[in-house]
Amino acid sequence: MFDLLDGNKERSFTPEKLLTISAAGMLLGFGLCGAGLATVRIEIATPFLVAASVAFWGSALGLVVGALWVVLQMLTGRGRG
Amino acid sequence: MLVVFHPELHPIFEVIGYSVGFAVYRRGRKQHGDFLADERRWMVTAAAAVGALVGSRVLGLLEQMPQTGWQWINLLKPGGKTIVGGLLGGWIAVELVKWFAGTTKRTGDLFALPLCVGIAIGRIGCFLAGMADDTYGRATTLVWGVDFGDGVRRHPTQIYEVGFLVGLGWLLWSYHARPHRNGRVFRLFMAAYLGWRLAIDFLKPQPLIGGMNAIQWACLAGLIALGFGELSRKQEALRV
Repeated sequence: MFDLLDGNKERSFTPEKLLTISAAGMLLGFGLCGAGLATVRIEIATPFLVAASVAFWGSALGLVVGALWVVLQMLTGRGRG
Repeated sequence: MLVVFHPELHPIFEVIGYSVGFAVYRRGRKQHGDFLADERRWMVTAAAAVGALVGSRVLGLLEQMPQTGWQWINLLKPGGKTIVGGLLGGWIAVELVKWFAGTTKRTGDLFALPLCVGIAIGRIGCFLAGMADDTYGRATTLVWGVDFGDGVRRHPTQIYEVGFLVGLGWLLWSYHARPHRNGRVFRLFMAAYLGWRLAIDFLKPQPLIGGMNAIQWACLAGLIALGFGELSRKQEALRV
């Protein structure tokens, strides 16, 4: 258990930052809003696919690393005030 | 009016939306202060971002389910995300983290204006993506109807939303500057945006379930949750 209101260890890069950036990157990688049919309209979506794939898989990796980092911190009791 | 519609413009405006939204958030945090320490604020932000990712995807695919059916593999395919799912997913994730952390303090006020600004910019990208983005409106004979490329003049619902968000942003900015109960700005934003989407989505040609699309049902659920939250806060205040 940790307290949200206490503790403020200054670090330049944290798992929370990595998770935030990765989640935004994955959202970006998915492409269009509401266009579930982009999977069908693949000819329209094609120019997206290379850039979107890089953003998607890079961010997915970031999410996994970030989540493991958080778990590791909780297990070792570090960074939780 | 000559408008060039191209799907590639969508991610460009999305990136600008994220960046400007983050800049507005940083400015607001500096201006209004924050009772959360940096690291804890990042924890809330990360929960909101991951929750938004999950919520946006799940609701986006549910919205299209009447046409495409549900397949788990679709979660990894391009397309199919929605702002309402992102907001509700982020909200739920932050509440879970706060519950886990044992805090009842409201943490959302600083996100309200940045979300308004970010969504408004992102919606310009939705508009410029044309028919590829499923956010256009139904056919209309009104003079401001826009042909997104299929030869049909349609309600530019994305532009309506930009106008709504500009007004809402101004309202939230004025409200935040005055003394207010903690958490009020965020709840005001959520109620206004969910109410707006509940109404404006009637102008969109999306697949319906029981008279409304999945996003509208989610808006209704969110509004009911906000209403219950408000009621329980009032009852608590009466007891004290």
